[in-house]
Amino acid sequence: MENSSDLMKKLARNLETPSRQWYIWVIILSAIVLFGVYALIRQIQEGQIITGMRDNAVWGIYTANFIFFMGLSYAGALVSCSFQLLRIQWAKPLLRMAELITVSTLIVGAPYILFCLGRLDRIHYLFMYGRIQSPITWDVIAISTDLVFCAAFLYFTHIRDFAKLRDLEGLKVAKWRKKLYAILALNYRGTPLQKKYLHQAHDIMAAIIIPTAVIAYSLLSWLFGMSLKPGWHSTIFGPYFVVTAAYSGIALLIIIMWLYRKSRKLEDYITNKHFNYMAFGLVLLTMAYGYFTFSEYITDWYNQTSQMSALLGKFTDMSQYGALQSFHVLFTMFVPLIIIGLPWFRSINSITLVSLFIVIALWVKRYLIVVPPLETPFIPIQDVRPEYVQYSMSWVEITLTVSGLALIVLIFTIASKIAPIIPVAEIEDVEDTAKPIIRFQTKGV
Amino acid sequence: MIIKLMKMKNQIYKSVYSLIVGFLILSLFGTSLSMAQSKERTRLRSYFYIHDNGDREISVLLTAGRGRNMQNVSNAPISMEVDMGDSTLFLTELITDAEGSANLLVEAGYTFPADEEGITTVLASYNGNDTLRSASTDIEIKDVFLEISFDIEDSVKILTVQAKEFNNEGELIPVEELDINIGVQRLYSILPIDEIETDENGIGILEFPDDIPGDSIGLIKILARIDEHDYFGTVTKTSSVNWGIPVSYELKRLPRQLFTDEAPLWMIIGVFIALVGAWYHFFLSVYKLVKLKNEG
Amino acid sequence: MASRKKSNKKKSRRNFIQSGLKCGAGALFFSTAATSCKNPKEKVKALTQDGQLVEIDKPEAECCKPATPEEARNGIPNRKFVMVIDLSRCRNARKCIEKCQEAHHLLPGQEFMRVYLMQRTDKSAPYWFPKPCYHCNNPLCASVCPVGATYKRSDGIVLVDNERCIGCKFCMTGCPYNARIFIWEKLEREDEEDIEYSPETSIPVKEGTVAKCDFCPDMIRKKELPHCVTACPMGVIYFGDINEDSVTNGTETVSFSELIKENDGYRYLEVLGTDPSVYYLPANDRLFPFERGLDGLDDEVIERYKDTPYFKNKRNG
Repeated sequence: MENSSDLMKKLARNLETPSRQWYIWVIILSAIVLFGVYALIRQIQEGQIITGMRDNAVWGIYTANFIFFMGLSYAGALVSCSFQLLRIQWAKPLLRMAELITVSTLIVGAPYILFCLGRLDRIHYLFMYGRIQSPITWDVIAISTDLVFCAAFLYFTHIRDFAKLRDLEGLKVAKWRKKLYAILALNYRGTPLQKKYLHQAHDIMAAIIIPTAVIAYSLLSWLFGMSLKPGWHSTIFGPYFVVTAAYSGIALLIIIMWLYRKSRKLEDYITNKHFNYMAFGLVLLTMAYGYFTFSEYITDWYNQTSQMSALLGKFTDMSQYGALQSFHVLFTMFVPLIIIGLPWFRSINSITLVSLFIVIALWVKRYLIVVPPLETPFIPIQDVRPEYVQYSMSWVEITLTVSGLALIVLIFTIASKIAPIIPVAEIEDVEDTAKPIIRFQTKGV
Repeated sequence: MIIKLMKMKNQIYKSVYSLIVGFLILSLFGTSLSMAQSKERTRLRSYFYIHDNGDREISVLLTAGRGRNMQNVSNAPISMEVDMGDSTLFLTELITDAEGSANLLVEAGYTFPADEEGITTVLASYNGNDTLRSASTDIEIKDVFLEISFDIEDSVKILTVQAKEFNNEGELIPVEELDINIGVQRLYSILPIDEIETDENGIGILEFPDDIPGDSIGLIKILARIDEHDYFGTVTKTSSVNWGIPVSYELKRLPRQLFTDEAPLWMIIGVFIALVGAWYHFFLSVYKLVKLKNEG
Repeated sequence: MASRKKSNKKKSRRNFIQSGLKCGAGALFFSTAATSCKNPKEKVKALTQDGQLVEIDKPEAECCKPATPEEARNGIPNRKFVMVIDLSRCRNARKCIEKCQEAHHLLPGQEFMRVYLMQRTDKSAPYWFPKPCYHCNNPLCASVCPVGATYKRSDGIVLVDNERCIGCKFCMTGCPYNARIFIWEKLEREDEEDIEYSPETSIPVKEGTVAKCDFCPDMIRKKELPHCVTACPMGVIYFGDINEDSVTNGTETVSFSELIKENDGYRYLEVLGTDPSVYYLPANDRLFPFERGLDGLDDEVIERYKDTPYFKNKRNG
């Protein structure tokens, strides 16, 4: 009983027999996911002709979703690992949410690039004939590495909680779940040596995930950067993507904090202070994002090559991408600064609402990165079927996007039934994690 | 007077009427006549070639119809004869192939009966059938001999072509004023170099250009050709010489090329270090967990 | 006629004779190999030295079995192919497109070759600009392919192995000339069952993969010109081996270097550093008024040019 606690007792109630509402919620989500599976089967059977992608816009919202979800994932990894390494105490309650964002969006996001493939049946060729020169290969390596690392890290941070759950008496859950907790807890009893090992494992994983995530997301940006296409061929894309990822990830974290706080009555753990600090981070990232976006556009705007002018023209033309671009600019750069940056409108709800718009606007930004440059090639689009000129998403693509979102929610719903969404051990055993990461040899004077 | 005029008028009408009727009947008859004989027009064309090795080839092409509707006639028998003045010498019967052509190959040593100028006239004829009319053509042929020789004088490449024919005494004599095209054999076709004309000695001379690429040792196949001469036909003579610029077939390595199978070394090393570094730490932390488990 | 015959001179004697005859017939110019492949044991009559009449076999055409995907990775030895497109002659007859589509079993909307309506500046006269794959010497498409399904051969040809392509379309985003198409749907043909796939023929078409102009290596192996070259009624397209410094459009054969030097030949978007194998001769002294290229086009095809600066200016008066 040494690891059990009042906090765990309280939170474990959420893990017990689910309510009927919970089942209905899971069924609804599963239905949406299954409809997505149906759409995917249709796509595999009938080929890519049933998507909206065509010869010029060869990629569409699948690719936009891919970058979007990957971005959220990398941001989750960056946030949770840097908080872990920097020993930031106040952020402890948020860590598990961040890690869940990482793993769930990674699981959901990675397959989107596969949906772009014309021949899914040849997917193993990536390993049989892989060429190290191709950015796709870099991505395959980086994403699979990242997925393993992040999943491992998520598990590592669960071990002490599993141990607490194993030792919690009166936990009303099925027998197999008790057994599962016992297995997953790895005989953890909290001995000093065990604590030390767990710490080392945590720190090592956190330290390796941060560079992995940065590299992986930069590599992803180079899928575009390595092309010659105006609008893609940009040296700033690596860091720009990483900043964008962090930005979208923090915004999503705020939304999830809000949702759990409301639905699980966690006001005592996810406090105003958390929203305050996260909002501060959000404003910083707003400025960083604004800086990168401005740098990206001002250089192209200033020297007016005809190719870039054509692309920028589409971004300012309201009948083309002007509306989407305005939405993106407004909600990623101006609204956050006004609502959060200025003191008068700041509140938990307004911060969350702004975060929601930021996340949507950053999805729009990914769409604007993928589609308009494809429609603005070097050689003007001519002598092709009219329906090949512009991209318009089909029902299959929309369905798969929506069901991807539903799957993320489903993963969160189920994951928070397995272990508490607040990492109990992290909060209770404060002294355990308070050790500095780098020790100095201090010489006496 | 008036009556007379009226009569005349009647007569005129009658005669015009009978003319019209007559014309109509005639034209009707005419059409039916032509319908009875609606055989397709055919055309037979012949070509004469003298090949590099001295073999000669007479080639005939049978077509039917006109203009755009012209079609090649296959499987048609073509009779080949030599015109001997008052009689003919039957050579053989050829059958046209799928493309409407038939070829008669005549080996170098065989000599045709010829007139006093050494010219043979070959007749080709097609007898026609139920739907096709008959057709015939004749072609005059005579042997000519081309000889190519190469000299280098003061580092100038001189190409010499000599043309000879038999006179009626069976002696080889030079052919004057003969146009000969000089070219170089290329993958698809002959790259023309120049045209030369033979002088009274039957000799044409060309200063050969220096900028013609050859193979890896500079070998080129030079071609002298007479095109569609009245009786020599199309005559080809080839000869190879190392007058070309040697070409290196080695593939040039472009700086920073990435399209080949081999990745740059730095990239392989970089990926290797990154992967080993990352996965080493992963297994290190898993190892810590194993130790943790064993500790419990 | 003489020049045409000259240009089609073949190495093998039989081909030479046939091509000479073909000129007379006009039509069916390059369709001999296919028929001769089916019945290779054709006979020809010969008169020997001693006056004997014998029948001898016609020399067999080189075998018509297409290269396997493995064989197709090696280029034709000691060759380096190059194409020159004379813009002053093109009048958008679209025969190249039609013949290419027919030979590669493509649907009407799938084009390896496209004809663009170009204008250097809005003051200059428009011209027609046929655009095949440029078979770049530094092909970005081949660099970015994750599985080596598209590759550059020693003879300069960039091919796609449709049996290896995973359909990721990364090469399509890599190609700055949009030379590649994706097989979104496929023409269903009954006669494809016996055809063995070869990257050199690009047939049968494989759905869900990327395809593009291949310079018709199967034709080159038969010593015949690519389909677009022979189909063009204007002799716009020259093709040949840069190692031999010689290109031909089927009627005339010229020195490649002189042609480029004297006509100020250029390559499209040279600045990108892709080093294309396709050269253009500028549309100076053009043989036809540009408008001729719009005559007799289907409305569907004319519609494809409606967003060009030329038509936009025309609409605005």
